[in-house]
Amino acid sequence: MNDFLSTYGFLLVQALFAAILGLSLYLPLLTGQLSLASPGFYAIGGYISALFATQVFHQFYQPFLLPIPASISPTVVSPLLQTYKYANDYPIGFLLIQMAIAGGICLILAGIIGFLAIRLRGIYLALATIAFVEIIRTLAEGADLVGGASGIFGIPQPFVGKLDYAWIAIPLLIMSMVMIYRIERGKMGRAFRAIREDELSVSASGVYTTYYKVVAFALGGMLAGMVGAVYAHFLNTWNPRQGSFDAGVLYLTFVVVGGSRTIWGPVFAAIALTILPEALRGLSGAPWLSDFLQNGRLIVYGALLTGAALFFPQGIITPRLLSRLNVINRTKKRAV
Amino acid sequence: MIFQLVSGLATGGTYAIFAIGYTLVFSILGIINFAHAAVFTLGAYFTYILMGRNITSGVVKGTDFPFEMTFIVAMLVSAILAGLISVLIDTIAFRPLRNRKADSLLALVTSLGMTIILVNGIQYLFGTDSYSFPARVLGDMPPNVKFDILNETVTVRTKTLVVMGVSIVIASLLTLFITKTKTGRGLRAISEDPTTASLMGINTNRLIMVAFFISGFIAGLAGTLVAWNVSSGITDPYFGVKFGLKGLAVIVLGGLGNIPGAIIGGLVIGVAEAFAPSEYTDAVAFGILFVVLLVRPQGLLGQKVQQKV
Repeated sequence: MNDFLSTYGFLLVQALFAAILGLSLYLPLLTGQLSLASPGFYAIGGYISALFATQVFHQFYQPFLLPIPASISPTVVSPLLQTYKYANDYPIGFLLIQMAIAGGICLILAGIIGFLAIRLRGIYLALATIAFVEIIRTLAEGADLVGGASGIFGIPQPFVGKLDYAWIAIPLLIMSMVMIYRIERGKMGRAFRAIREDELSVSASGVYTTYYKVVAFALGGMLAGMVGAVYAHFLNTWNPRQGSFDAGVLYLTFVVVGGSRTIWGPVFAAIALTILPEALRGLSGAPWLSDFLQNGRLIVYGALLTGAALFFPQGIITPRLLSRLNVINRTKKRAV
Repeated sequence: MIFQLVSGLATGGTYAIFAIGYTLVFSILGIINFAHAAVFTLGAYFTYILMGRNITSGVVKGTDFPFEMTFIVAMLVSAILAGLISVLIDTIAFRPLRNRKADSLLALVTSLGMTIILVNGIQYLFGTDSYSFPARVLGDMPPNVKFDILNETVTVRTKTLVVMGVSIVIASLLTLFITKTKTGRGLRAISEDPTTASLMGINTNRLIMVAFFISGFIAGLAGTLVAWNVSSGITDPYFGVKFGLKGLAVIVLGGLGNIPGAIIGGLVIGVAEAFAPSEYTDAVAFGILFVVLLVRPQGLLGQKVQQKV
């Protein structure tokens, strides 16, 4: 078990963060807005966090440094490495502050972008958000403050191993799920659903739809920004490749394959689809098969994606499936 | 100044030729077919193989293909193959959704799935090596043509002129086809309302297959020409996917689904990029895309659609 966790810890935490990113796309979709902006806010959140950690907060703590092995001559080691390579005691409080700052900035920014883009519908909104993501990426590539194309390195580590990031990922995932669950149950969720079904008649009955749509869009941006803030530490480095158009489409597949009508859909699909390519790598039967799965595993992934969309048009986890599971549980209880 | 204009038009020409087939499918089905970029890539690889050139990596490495076609023949055959692949993509990924009248979100996912399959299939078969076409495949062409504009001599690469010429010819033929022929009229009827069109006796599935064939044919042709035009050749299996995103900016700028608009959009974005500082080149296309969507969502040549209750 320990072996398994140390090998796949990175992947497991990655899957948990992917679930939150799936939720960040699920939120605007609750109001019927197809937004692929999440990678943009994720990238911004990561940059905010990386800048705070390497430029501001590093003055306030004294990293505990392991001695650099004598075999490495000090002239070879760069100053950055000397400071951070052997430190893993970056205060978690700082990380939480960075997440709050990144989340707040992304919330406001997403509110502004959402307000501007709100009148676009369907594929046009998707295109505008793709444009936003690509603009952020190119600007980051050109800006010296954030290290240009090579990015920011040596972001300090609050944990010893990658698996320990689950201490951040699991609470964040639960908190976002609770938040969305509460929203869906309340007045706001009712407004969201009504807007998704028929925006025109909702606005005709006196609901200010723009407000609800902007809120959904902004909350999605906030979640993505907070994930980015942790991810910068998780990856140790942050560069313009982090937020790209492909990532946005990937999150969309989480929502569509998992099911866009329940909160469990994107969470389930994000975890499953993140682990799947690696799991395929591990499968090996006949030698030719294992060779194919090594080099062609993404072909299988693409086929599964297409198949899921074709055969489960509502997603794999639908409200009906959940209620059926509920019925089973209830009958079991009654039998007892 | 004129130099930048000319080089911008050259880049814009490659964007335009990529976008024509892209916008055709959108104009009829209202879906964005991401797999177009993969078909574009495949077209370039097919031509390369049909010319009997060597594949130096991947599973088929070192295989001797029994083909020895000239560039133009290989290009046309590969375009036909690309058209068939495109029809196959429609049959697998789009037709079942169409028949079920499914959410258009799903078409995005299936077309993405097909793109992943095709791109990684190419990588599996042909590896990540770059392949470039031999010089002088079109016989003894002068490498450059000189023009005198406003007392300045401007040098333009002949290949660029060929690409621009071909894209203008294709766009004109396609516009004629859509507006004048019976099939084209049927396609326009389908884009208006598929159910009514099929009630009027139009075989929608067959016509949509025709549209996908044409779109794939153009994509294959375009892939070959662009790979031949740029000095780096077919860089890797992601060769076409890089154009996919810019292509979106191009077709939105020209008006989604508008064929002459795709050419104008391509040229405008190419020229705008040539005038921008080099580190922000990519931001230009997407900046234009964002502003156009906010200010004029129907694009330069598109017509406004009134929202109905």
